[in-house]
Amino acid sequence: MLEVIAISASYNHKPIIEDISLRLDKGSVLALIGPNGSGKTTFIRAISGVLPLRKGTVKVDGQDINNMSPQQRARKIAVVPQARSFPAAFTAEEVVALGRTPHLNWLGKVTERDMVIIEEALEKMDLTALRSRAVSELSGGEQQRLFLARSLAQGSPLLLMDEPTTHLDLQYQLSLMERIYQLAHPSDDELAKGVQPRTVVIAIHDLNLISRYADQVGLLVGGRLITLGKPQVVLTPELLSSAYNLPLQVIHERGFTLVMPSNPPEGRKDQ
Amino acid sequence: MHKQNTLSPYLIITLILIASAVLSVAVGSVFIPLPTLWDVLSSAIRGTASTLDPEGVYLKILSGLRLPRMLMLAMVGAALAGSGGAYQGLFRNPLADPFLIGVSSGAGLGAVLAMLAKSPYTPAGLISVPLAAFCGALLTVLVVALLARVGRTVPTTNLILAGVAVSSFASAVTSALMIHSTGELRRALVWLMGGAIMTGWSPILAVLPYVLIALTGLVLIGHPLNVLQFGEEQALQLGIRVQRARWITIALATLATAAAVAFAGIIGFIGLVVPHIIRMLWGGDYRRLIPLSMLGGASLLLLTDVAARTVIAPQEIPVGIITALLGAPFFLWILKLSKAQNYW
Repeated sequence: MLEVIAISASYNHKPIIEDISLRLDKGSVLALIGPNGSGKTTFIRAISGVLPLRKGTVKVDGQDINNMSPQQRARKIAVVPQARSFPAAFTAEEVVALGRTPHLNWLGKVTERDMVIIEEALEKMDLTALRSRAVSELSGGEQQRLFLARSLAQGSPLLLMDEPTTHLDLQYQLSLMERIYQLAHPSDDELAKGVQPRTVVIAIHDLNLISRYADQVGLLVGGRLITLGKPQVVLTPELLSSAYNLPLQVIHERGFTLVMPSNPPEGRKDQ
Repeated sequence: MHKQNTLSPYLIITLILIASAVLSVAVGSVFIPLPTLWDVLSSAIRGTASTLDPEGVYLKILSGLRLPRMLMLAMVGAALAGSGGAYQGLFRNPLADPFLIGVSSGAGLGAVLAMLAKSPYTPAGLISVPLAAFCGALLTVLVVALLARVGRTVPTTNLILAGVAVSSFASAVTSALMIHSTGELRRALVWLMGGAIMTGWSPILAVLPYVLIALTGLVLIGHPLNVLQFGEEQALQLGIRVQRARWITIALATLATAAAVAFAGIIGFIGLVVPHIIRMLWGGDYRRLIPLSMLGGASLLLLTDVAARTVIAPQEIPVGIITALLGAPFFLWILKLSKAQNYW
């Protein structure tokens, strides 16, 4: 579904990611992990088409994204932004409706079919009751769900997300990740109704959420993809300790994988 | 989004506009009562003599002075408010206004340069003055945007400071030019204060093409402006050709401002006040905000002009002075509101 072939990209003339290749099948969640500055955000921006590639090719459903117009690209790839820049005067419904942009003409006129899709996206993210609220009146968790709803309305098979769980409390983190997982793995009911599984690439810091929700994990260090594989293959003390430059232990407990620092806090005497 | 929500604002604003237009033609040194006004206009349309105006005095006042003035003011108000709304969307900045960001002064400088060469009332002047105003305005908006830009955004403070600086520069050059040309001095000064709205039918015909193109265009770019509110990167990810949308918006908003300035002088704050009131009442969707702002801008300028003509009658206050008196406190209020975050 997604093919990344030997891409390199720079930001402000500084090379950030180098020679990254990966393939991702339809209906899977890829979590990108790595220390700050390892190139996760740059990778997301590069495969979304907003950051020109220095080398390499990105293909979605076999098509090179460089040969697509912004509109064609937006029909294939939806990006869930970190909820930072948003128009406060818009209502939740208006924001979700703008997700239909790649399917609309210059005037932005929505059809009946668009309305149905907007409605479904609102419903799926539990935003129906909040539809007439101004974006500025929503909580951080609601705003994050709103942007997810907007990208659902966009209808693109590939979803890219940069740190969607930042600023969310534990409850919202879990519920957001739960929803993201379900987008890639629709229930039998949904599949019977023709819901297509989405493919998700997500940059994330929280290592403990990953084993629960990711199908694949990619570990980025210094702009290079060090490892790509199932969570249990990548989440090992050896790989993580060297990537984060910190002794880490990995605990398997009742089916969960937990990553913790091995050393006790320095200077703390009561433990 | 819903039909019942979009119909009523248009109805309300249109009714206000009609009332303002009637007031504007009725009030003046000679007050024309409404029944007379109706009789004079309807019999003029039918081609018969009015029973309430047997000598045709009122008809002369209306067709020679007040109707063209009313139409000109309505177009200028619509152009200023429409371009103000578009600039606010373009810069994603609540304080963008053609006057505050210096575009009006740039247009003014261009217009004065052309006026020095040709009197604005000659056919050559009617064509060259708005063109020169457009060039001046376009140059100013580009300089201001370049100066104020920090990376990908245009912070409010920078925008206003750059606007003030460039605007002062343009005004200084304009003043220097006016001192040089003694004969035109008084006229140009009054014009600069927004007190020399060009009247008569030929300026109306001259401004019409600019206003029609600019306003139609601005009404049609509401959707791309909406998407641009998410920022450049998200707009691109939503499938908008960002640079093209921006240039079209700049060209249209600047054309509207230049037309307004060339035919009515510099009138500030209409472009700030009106879109804000509309946004507070009916939300931020630019597909609705821009046309509603135009109707509201036309109404507000007509009402301001009525005040300008009556407050110290028979003397007339330049209408730009009144808009500044009303607009400046509003500007400060918006400044405070926009600091409180949840409004813009």
